[in-house]
This record gives sequence, C-alpha cells and structure tokens, in this order.
Amino acid sequence: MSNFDETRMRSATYSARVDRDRPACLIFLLDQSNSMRDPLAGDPTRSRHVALAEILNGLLYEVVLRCVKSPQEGPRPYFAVAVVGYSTDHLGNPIIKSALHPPLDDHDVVWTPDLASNPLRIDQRPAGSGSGFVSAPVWIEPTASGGTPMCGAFDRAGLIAKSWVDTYPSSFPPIVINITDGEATDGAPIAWANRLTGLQSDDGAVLLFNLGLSSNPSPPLLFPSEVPNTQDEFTSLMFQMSSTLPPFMLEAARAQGFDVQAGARGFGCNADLRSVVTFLNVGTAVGRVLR
Amino acid sequence: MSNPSQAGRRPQAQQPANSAGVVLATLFLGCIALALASIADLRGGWWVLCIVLLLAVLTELLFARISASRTAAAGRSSSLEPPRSRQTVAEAPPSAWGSAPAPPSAGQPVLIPASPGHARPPNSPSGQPVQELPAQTASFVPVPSFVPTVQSKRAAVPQLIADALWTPKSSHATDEHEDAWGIGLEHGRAAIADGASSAFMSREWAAVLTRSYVDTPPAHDLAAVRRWVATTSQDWSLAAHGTDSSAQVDHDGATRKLSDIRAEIDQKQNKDWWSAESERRGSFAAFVGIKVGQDEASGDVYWDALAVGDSCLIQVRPHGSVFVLECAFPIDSADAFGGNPELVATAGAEGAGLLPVIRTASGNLRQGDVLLLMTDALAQWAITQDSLGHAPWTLLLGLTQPEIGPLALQERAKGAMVDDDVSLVRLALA
Repeated sequence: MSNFDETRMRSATYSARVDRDRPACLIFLLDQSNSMRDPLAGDPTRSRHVALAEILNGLLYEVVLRCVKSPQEGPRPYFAVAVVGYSTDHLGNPIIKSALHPPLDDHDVVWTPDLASNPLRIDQRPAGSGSGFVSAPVWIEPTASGGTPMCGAFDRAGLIAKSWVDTYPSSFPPIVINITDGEATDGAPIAWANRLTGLQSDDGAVLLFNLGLSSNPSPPLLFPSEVPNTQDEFTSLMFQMSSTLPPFMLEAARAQGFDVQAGARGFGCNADLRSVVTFLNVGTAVGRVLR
Repeated sequence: MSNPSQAGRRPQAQQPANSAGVVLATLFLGCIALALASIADLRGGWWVLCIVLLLAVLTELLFARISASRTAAAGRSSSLEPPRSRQTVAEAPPSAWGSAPAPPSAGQPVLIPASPGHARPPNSPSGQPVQELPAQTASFVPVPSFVPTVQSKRAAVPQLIADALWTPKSSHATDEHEDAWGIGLEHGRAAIADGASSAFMSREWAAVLTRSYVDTPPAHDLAAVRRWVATTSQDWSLAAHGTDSSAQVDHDGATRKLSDIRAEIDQKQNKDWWSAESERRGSFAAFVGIKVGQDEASGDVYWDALAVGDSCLIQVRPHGSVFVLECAFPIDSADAFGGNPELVATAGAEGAGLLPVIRTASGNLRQGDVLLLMTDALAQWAITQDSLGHAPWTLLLGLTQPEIGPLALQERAKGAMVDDDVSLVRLALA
C-alpha cells in the first residue's frame, strides 16, 4: 500500500452523508446456483432462491422509499443499485449478469428513480394493519441453475466499485453484499475479496459483507467479532472475506437487538429468513440513518 | 424591572447637593448669630463669626466621612445579592449577546420582541430582510384539547427576547431545509425540530410539531405527550391530504394551499406507487421544546424542557467577559450523538408504535442567561468545541443570519461539523 493509500485509509470514517452530490452504491451478488433451490434453514417449505428474491424485492422497495421526500417529486437519485446474479450454464460456463430485467439490465447500476419507475410488476398485498392493501413492486424473479462462480461475481463487483469510487470519490464507499449457499467453483475468492476491499473512496474502503445460507439446523450466527468455532473451512473463509462493520452499522445491529461487539464483521451463516432480513437491513443502513 | 444603572447613579448625584446645603444652612445661622452679636457688642461679633465658619468646615468634613462610609456599606450589601443584580449592572445589556458590553450594532443579533403569532426572522438593523425559513408560515388550526395546564405558581410569563438562525445542508436548496422552529414569546414557549432526512415530508412534520408546541403544548408527561403527538399527527395528515383548505405552506417562496398540493399528489398517485407507500410509512423528527414561566411570588424565572432525540437545549451564563455552559439537555457529551436517535413518529407510522420515551428537564433562568435550542449538527459541534476549551458560546451569541452559513461551511470543511441542516433559536430575558 502506498503512503497515499495509507493516509486515505487512516482518514476513513464511513461518515459521508448520502445525498444527490454524494450518492451511495449498493451491489448485491446473488448466488443463483442450483443448490439455491434447497429449503432455507428453519423453513422446509420455502426454497432459498424464492425467499431471497422476495427479501431483495422488499429491500429495493425500502431503498426507493428512502429517496422519496415530497409528494411533489419522485424518488431522488440517492442510491445506485446493482443486482448481479451468478451461476453457470449446462457446460459450466459462468453466467454473471444483472438479475434485473429489461430495461434495467442495460447498465451496471440502476438509479433509484429508474428503479422506482420500472418494476416488473406491482403486486398488491394485505396491509400489516389488517385493512387495505399495500403495493409490493417486484424487480427480481427467482432463478437457480448450475455452479457458483463467486470469483467472477467479485470481479464484476470490482469493476463496478472501481468505476464508482473514481466517479464519486467523496461518497460513502460502495457496499457489496454477497449471498451464497456454497463454495466458489471458479477459484479462491479470498484474493478477489481482498482486491475488492482494497478499493476505497475518501470516506473509507469498499465494504464486503457475506451471508451464507444453509439447511443446517444450527442456529443462525450474525455479526461475529471472532472466527466462528467451526471445522468448516468455508465458514472461516467467508468470515475472513468480510469487512468490519462501521460504527453506525454496529448501532443499527444493536437497534435490531443484536449484542454485537466492536470489530464485528459483516458476516452471517446458517441464516434463516429473519436473519437474512436483519443482515440486509444492517448492511444497507447507509442513507437510512435518520439524520 | 427598575433600571439598575439609574439606581446606581443616584447616591453619587445627591451627595454634593446635600453637603452644600448643610454648609449654607450653617452659614445662614452664623450670620443670624453675628447680627445678634453685633447688636450686643460689635467687637465680640467677629469672634462669633470665626467660630461659626470653623463649625461649618468641621460639619462638612464630618458629613463627607459619614456619606463615604454609607456608600461603602451599600456596596458590601449589594455583593450578597443574587448574581442577577451584579450581572445586569456589570455585564453587557441582554440585547448584546457577545462578550463586549457595547450597544447593539448592525453586526449583532436581531431580537424579536414579545408579540402574538409565530416568530419569524425580522428585518436586520440595517433594513435588509433576513432570509426566512419557508416552512414556518403555515397556519394550522390549534387543537383545543391541548390547552396547556396553567399552573398559578408559574402563571406569569416574563418579558423575553428571541431570534432564530439557520442554514441548510451543503448542496441543498433552502426549501430542502428539514429543520423547523417556532417561537411564541407571549406564552414563553419555543421549540425546534429536525425532520429525519430519510423520511417522507419530514420538513412538514417538523414544522407541524413546533407550531403545535408553541400554540398548544402538552404537559410534560409521557401520556400527555403521546396524546399530543397523536393529535398533532392529524395536522401532518392534513398537510399530506390537503383536506384543510385554509392550511398553507410556503414552497419555493410562494404560499400555496395544501389542497392544491394534494390535488397534485392525487394526480401523481394514479401512476406512482411510492407516494402512497411513503405517506403510509409516516414521518419522523427529533424535537425539543421549552416553556418559560415566572414565579409570581419570588419573581424567579423557570424553564421546563421536553425532548425526544438529539435536538438540544443549551443554557449559557455570563461569567466575567465570557459565557460558560450551564446546562446541555438531553445530550451533554459529543460522543452521545449517534446515528439512531429516538424520534417522534407520526401516529400510525409503519413500525413506529407509540412514542417510547420522552426526556424532561427544568432549570432557572437569570438575567443575562441565554437559552439555545439547536438541531444535532450544531449542538454536537458546540459541545465538542466547549469540551476542547474553545468556548463557542460568544461566537454563537454574536452570530447573524448572513454569518451562520459560512460558519457551517467552514466547520464542515474542517471535518468539525456534520454536514446536516443547522438551526439555532436564541432566547433570553428582555
């Protein structure tokens, strides 16, 4: 690392506010391998890829609404979002592409106004209060096939993140959230992960968070500050590849009821439905900070 | 309240007049004695005259000594009086909030005299209008059920002065300023609120909250505040629905009826899913409000404050030539400002539930003290500066509306202030 980079790293504060001049970039990497058809932990009736698509649609809905400030205007371009699916074809060739549908899949990132205006469809669901219906826009449909080219997905995320920090150097750094249920089938992802987190804006290094799904009956583990006590090398590897949570995300995790310690990583394993939602809420807390 | 400077001059002005009178009276009596002596014996009369003159001189010297000792005794007794007497005599007049005891000039804060209605930034002394906070002009219908509980002990409202300064986040237009403030000096009330940046119509919610507090504040207990929030939320809902045709808001400097805005919303909602969803999720704001009253018996002035979240009340007190921090509420440490403050949610806001907690505080207000209501960015900066020994209070008390923007830009550039909306209400005894 050069002296210049060291200086930048020391000055990393993860405190840039999100606004039109300093938008934030969220990059979701979705494992769409065939094993994602297996059930999610704690719910044998729901496959991982279906549950994940629902959760991500809900998260994108949240992100859009964070940008709506006034009835007189549409959502503001506070966020750019990339949803990258990774899988392989029947020959084992990697398929790494946007999980969004036309016309949103034309670009590396989609801005919130475009996201708001171009859902695949808008479902109506009963309101939580029990009266009336709420709009539930859908952007992502579940899909799963082939292997797990995680290194290729990190490569794609790196291209997007590099372009982002060059364009918006004073913005909050890109947040990359990788959700997978298995080991990489295209190499050693740790090198790619280190390269990815070596990118940085003036406000800090790129944040890489990893969430592992499984059918393991063990209880979910979220935001540990030490390497999980497990014989599973893949779990240890995922922990090592995960960034430390910035202070405001620690606060967000605590607000969700987690007794997280300083140094907690953006890592989770054996995630059930609820912990996936929590993980994504904490990991995307930027711009949701109510100040 | 009497003018202490006049009271202080009176003994010195009367002293020479009194001593001269005694001398004249003595001389007058001496002349009468001399005339009588002259009639009786011409030679003895000169002796009488000399004795009378000597008595007059001795009387003058004795009177001067007694007057000096009385003046000294009066000075000792005044030093045992409450500090208010000393401050009003020795310190700057309350309209001059800086440390220098100079009369108000064009560079000093503009104060609003007690007057009905919501406080608005007045014209500056030079006649140049001060920028106005657009969200402050809506006139919502007060809610009769929340007439404040009048406590006879504190029924009196002292004469107060106040003003407000503000500046938006960098790169944001003035109509994107999401703080709001209200001042009602005739009732001794002021409030400031910080609309949550990520919430829908939070600027309007902050404005409704502060206005409602100034017009019809709740008692400072959790149940009463919850009822007040529920009722005040209806005003926000009116703002969102525009069903109150008399209610108006400023937007881009122009006053528009909410019903007109609502018509636009309805038109847009035919195709936009996010407007309805945003409104359903409600809005959020941090808040601090203050009531000032006076004990009719003792004349002591009190304040009672209510806070939710990280908007702060800071009381500063003159000490010699500077102001010192007397109290900071509800946050008194820069480290305690976080990204997830408690917030007042509109009633029915999704996932918000009832207001979980309120914080209250009370104190007394002396002549010369200044109460500062601030939103979090400025409060965190000021408390940090104070803890570093940089004493920002004199700077803040002397600040004018044209100066607050450059100050915020400078401190943001240094990384000393969070880039957020900044609002400051200053209030003191007249």
